[in-house]
Amino acid sequence: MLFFLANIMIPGDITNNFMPGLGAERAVLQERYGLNQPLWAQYLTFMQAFITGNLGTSGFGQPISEIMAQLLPWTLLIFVFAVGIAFVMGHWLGRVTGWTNRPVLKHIIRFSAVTAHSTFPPFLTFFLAFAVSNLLGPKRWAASQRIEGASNFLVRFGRSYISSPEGQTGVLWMMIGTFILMAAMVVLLQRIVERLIRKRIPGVLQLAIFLAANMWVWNLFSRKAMALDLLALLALPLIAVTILAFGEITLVVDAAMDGAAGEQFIQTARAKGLSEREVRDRHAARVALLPALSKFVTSLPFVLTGLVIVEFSFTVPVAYAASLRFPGLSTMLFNALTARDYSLVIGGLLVIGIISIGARIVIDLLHVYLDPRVIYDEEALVQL
Amino acid sequence: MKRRSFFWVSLGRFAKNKLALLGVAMVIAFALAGAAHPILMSTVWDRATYHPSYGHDDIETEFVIVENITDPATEIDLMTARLSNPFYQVGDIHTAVTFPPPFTKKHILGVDNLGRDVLSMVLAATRPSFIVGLSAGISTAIVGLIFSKIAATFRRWVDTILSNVSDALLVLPAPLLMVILGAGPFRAQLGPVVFGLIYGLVMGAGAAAVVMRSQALSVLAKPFIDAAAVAGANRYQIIKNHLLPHLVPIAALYLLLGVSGAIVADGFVSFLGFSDTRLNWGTIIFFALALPPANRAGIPWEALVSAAGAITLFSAAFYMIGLGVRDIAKPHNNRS
Repeated sequence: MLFFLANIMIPGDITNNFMPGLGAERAVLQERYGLNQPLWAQYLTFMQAFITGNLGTSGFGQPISEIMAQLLPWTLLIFVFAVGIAFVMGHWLGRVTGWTNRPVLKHIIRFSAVTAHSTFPPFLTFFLAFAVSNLLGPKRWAASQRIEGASNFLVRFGRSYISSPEGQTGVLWMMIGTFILMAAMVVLLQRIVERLIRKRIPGVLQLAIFLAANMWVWNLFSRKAMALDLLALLALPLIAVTILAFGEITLVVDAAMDGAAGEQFIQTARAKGLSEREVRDRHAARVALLPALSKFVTSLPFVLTGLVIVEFSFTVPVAYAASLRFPGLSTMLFNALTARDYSLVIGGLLVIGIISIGARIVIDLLHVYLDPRVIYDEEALVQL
Repeated sequence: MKRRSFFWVSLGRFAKNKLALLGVAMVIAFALAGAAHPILMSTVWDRATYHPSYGHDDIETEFVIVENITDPATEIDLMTARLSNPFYQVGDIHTAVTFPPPFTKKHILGVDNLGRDVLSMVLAATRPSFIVGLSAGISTAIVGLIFSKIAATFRRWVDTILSNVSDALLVLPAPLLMVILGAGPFRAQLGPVVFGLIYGLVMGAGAAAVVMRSQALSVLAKPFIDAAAVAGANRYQIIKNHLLPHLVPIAALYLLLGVSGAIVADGFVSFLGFSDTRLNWGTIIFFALALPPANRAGIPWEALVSAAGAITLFSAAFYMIGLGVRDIAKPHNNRS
């Protein structure tokens, strides 16, 4: 963490290269930003400010922590939802690929996983926006009108953001919270039911329970309409990030399932008379969970990068309209980059880093829970 | 003799992976395409029409002027036509300059919004992509090897510092760093080779070093290392003869992953216009999306799809070879 901050500090000093003033003015500005002090003093000031949660002010005088607090939930929501959906979907696809006997299906899923993993994000976002606005809009448009229609549709998508910006941050946090809580609840429910009647809840039913519970909580807070609106606005980036993220998990689970297929405990399970599906989901898939999770830890920063790129790609103005006015961290980041507002850029990178570290910690904890053999002990590692 | 047999065993294992073979075939196809471009330019294609930066081709098409358009390919509405000639009436013929359609012998993939041949552009962009990808991949592998080797050799505080640096770099993802460098003061220096090297340095010291270090530590804990030490090998010999052979396949894997990541990152950075690369798959997509559609109805799918497809397939090819190499690197992965 400290090293990260030290890394981050380096571009901070560049600020004075871009100060507009010359000579005396510049000296005044440098004094104001504390740039004339020695490096270690700047670093101490920065660290002190950071620990107390004060990220300074942007070049336009707005406190950075305030901007971040407004933008963070948008990005975090897409991140949490997309990572969750991608993990479930990737795990399911990998299970199917690793277990099936049909080579054509196997190769199709593998190839599409690789391709989805390496799609070019700006093209993906453009294609999604175009496809959605054409599929859901009126069909018989002339070519020029079709483009107009696309932009109108996307503006309508974002109307809730444009009409009432305040109060949304809270709703977004609520959505993130319910998403995580309800996912945990469904897993817990599944375990209880399994223990009581020795039967799995079917996946579709789990999904239905999950969605219904989310809706119920949103309704309880009487924020359902707004939450659904926001979800509609976020749908496209969500789909794009999911497409970019699920491929890797599919491949890892696929490889692990392939290996598990010849194991003795699989034969035992078959000999017990369990159905093929049950063998796959309850015995082989358990083996595949851990490698998928540990692979996920290292690929999380790249999912986050993908998210940043996707988010920004949606806001790039292109000639064919279809650019989404989307308030997210990366939009801010790139705008700040173009405006050379480096303190804001550093703030954005810090927040992205914090999301990444937070997600890593959560997955590490999950890993310890799922695999009791894992011990987090420095001494043990050194002994190795 | 022994080395060779290991090589052939690995090759056999690699050849069993159909996806990896497909990846090799695709990379070879791309290499051939990249090599073919200068030859085609100097023999079959004339520079005025096919040059990837300033070639141009257009045709004259006749449009019937109508009130309401039913077929945009042959008809034009009165208001638009009157922009060029105010005396037009319904039923007149308006001659306009348009671009040749795709899937013809002259322009297999059509032309983009400026009338440049898409096939020529895509082929011309193959060589810089190879340069970016390979320089990124090779530097990723080398930096990762050096980091993990140093960490394994010295342990203790050197290891602590290096692994902290790696963790820090994991948090700051390489594509984002490239964008920031491109937008910042280093834009002019960000050619394909430098781009690849910086990307590889960050990837190698970050993600690759984390994985390779843990692999190195787990290999060092194996009994045969102790056996070698008992047999009298010193630390240098152990690392050279017993540790490195276990790290090389993983380094190869990260070489390939580095290539596929760098290609997408390079495309994105040049899509945003933050690098000095003039001709690139990313810039083709940028021009196709950002330039207003001059005398063309609809969206230039041919330029968009070919360039995006080229990026995706190129990086997917290296990724698939990487999957094949992973099978070699972790033969026991499947049975643990």
